[in-house]
Amino acid sequence: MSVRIGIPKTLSYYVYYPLWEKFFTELGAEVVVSQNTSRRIVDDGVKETVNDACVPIKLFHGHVLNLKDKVDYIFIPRLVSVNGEQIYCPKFLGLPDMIKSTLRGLPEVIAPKIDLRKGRFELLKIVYQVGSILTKNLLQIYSAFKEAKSYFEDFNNLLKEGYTVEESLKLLEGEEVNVDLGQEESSLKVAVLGYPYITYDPYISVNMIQKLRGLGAEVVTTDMLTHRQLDKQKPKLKKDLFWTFSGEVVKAGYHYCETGEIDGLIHVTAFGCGPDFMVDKLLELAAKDKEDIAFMTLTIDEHTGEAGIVTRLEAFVDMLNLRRKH
Amino acid sequence: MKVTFPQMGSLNIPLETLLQGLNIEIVSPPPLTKRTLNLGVKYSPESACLPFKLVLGNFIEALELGAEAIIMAGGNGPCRFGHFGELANDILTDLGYEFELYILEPPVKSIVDIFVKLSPNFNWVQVIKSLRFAWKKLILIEEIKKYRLKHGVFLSKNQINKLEDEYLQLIREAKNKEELASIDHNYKKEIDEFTDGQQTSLLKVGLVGDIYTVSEPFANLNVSKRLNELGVAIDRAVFVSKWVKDNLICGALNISSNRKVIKAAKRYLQEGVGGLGLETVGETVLYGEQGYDGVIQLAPFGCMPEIVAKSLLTEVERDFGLPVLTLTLDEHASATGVQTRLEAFVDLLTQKKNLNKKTFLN
Ligand code: SF4
Repeated sequence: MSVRIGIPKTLSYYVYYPLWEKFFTELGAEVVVSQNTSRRIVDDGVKETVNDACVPIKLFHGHVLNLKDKVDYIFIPRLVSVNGEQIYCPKFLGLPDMIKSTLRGLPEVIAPKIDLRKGRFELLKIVYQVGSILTKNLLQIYSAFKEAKSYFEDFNNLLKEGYTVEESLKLLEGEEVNVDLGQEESSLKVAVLGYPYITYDPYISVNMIQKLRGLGAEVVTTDMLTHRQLDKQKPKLKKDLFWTFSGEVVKAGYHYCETGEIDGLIHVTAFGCGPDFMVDKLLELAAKDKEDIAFMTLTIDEHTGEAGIVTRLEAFVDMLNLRRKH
Repeated sequence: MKVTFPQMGSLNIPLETLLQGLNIEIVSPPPLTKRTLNLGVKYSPESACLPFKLVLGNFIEALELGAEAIIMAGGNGPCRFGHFGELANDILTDLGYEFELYILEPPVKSIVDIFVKLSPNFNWVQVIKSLRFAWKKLILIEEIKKYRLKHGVFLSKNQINKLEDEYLQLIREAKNKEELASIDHNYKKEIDEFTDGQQTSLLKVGLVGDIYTVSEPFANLNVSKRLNELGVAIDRAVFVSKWVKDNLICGALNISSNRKVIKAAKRYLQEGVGGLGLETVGETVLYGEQGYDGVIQLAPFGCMPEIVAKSLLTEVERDFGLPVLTLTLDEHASATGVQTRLEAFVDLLTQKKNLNKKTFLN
């Protein structure tokens, strides 16, 4: 029987899953993903995690519990710095430690430290370190990684075309998805900005992106922009944010405000998120500068009800429609 | 140009000495009060942490008093402190204040440039002289605090406040080394006289946590004095001078300091998580190893490094049989609430100690 490696379906899953999945399966492992976020997973996580942690971290604990008895290993990379400059929020840095000390009876945790500030060679070392759990064959490890990388590129290209993570993953697997990205010129355009593990998790975001599309709005996100486009916004910040995801969100906001292509900007944030105290304020100030862009913050917590969010989305879209008419 | 800076604990004293030594005109930040907090809460994003709110409120008060420039430290994260300056700048500008902001951040050259610009007659001899004297004051302030934490047991909060205020003022006014030495001597003598004939303390508690909350009595609602009053001897893990040595000096020289603490933390936390998260874990382990009766962790509500630390402390607590009390502080924290929790914690530690003694005697 092949080795089963568990990947929790949250946090960096929404950014790197195709890369890891391909890598592990190429090396003969079976990749097991935790179930979709559900009330149960949220509640299990909330029960185990320190009170003051943010919702996504609580959720992560829930997903690990969901996998616990189904796999031989759980993969929880410690993301420190991927782009070689910025880092991640403290909870990402301490994630494997938090999980190991909070949850009992876990299978072995694979927690490579990913800190590419030390140079490109570091990446190869990490790849080898993780791959060698499955095989000692160097060549096989590298070719698996090469495969995984090109698969990952395909995934990112789909994101740039405007598909959500879920849709892109389906397309990669050869499944059909039913969305029409070619919206009419006249439709409203709304930027939904937030961390990928919040905006793309259908449960935690109460399917916000689909709902907005259903209300006739075209949705744009951070992932649809290239690194070049984001980097171009850097000079507007007195100091680039040192948290990777947060920097991307702010720069995406600046980009959409600059081009003026959007009617509204929704910042989706999690209750208890540290970096967002800054992100939210910066986005608000950016939108304040633009008279024709409406701004709204949606805060998600473990009790968020679908009804409340939907009402706010509908009201927001109504308001945008009204503004358009005038 | 009149310059102000953030207040934290008694940091204003060495900073005044340093800046005045460079002939920079200053507006000392007024002491933190309820008003400071209210201003901060009003103008900060709701989810900002308590230190940010207090710093922002205090800036507003200093600007009202005529400050024209603010200097403060920056950082590379991942603790939010590293972005305080920029955010405070945006908020204050949006409120219509006019001022210049100088953020002290590596490289060292940029820091020097700031002082060259602010000082009307910058010269290195003067810089080094003022820096050394300011450092001496900082060390003395910490020294008298340490002494009181350890020996000022069973003194009432008011007694301590009065004594400490009096001596801090003396340090503030001191003009030379000799004065500092006699302040040190007299202070310790007074504490000894006060505590002479008192019960000796039974309990030893370690104090860990975020540097701002640990250093600023207004933020921690006077936790250490309350504990002293309850008869607890305290060892405080966090001091500004230590932080400066570990982070600025060793950091600039690229040598790893603090090895003992990092090693102690290793079994629980293998990566720095910003702020003092790693130190909180490491120091708690060390207190456990040294047989302390308990540890108190102070953290602003929402402080990320301390949240990570807290989630690991549960295991440390279990491994060492060392009770840990986490006090999370925000603008809603009340003195009575803190007092009740401290009393309950002290009761628990006392009981545990008596129980241990009994089993030992049996
Ligand atoms: S960035 Fe915010 S939401 Fe994400 S893990 Fe960190 S604190 Fe939580």
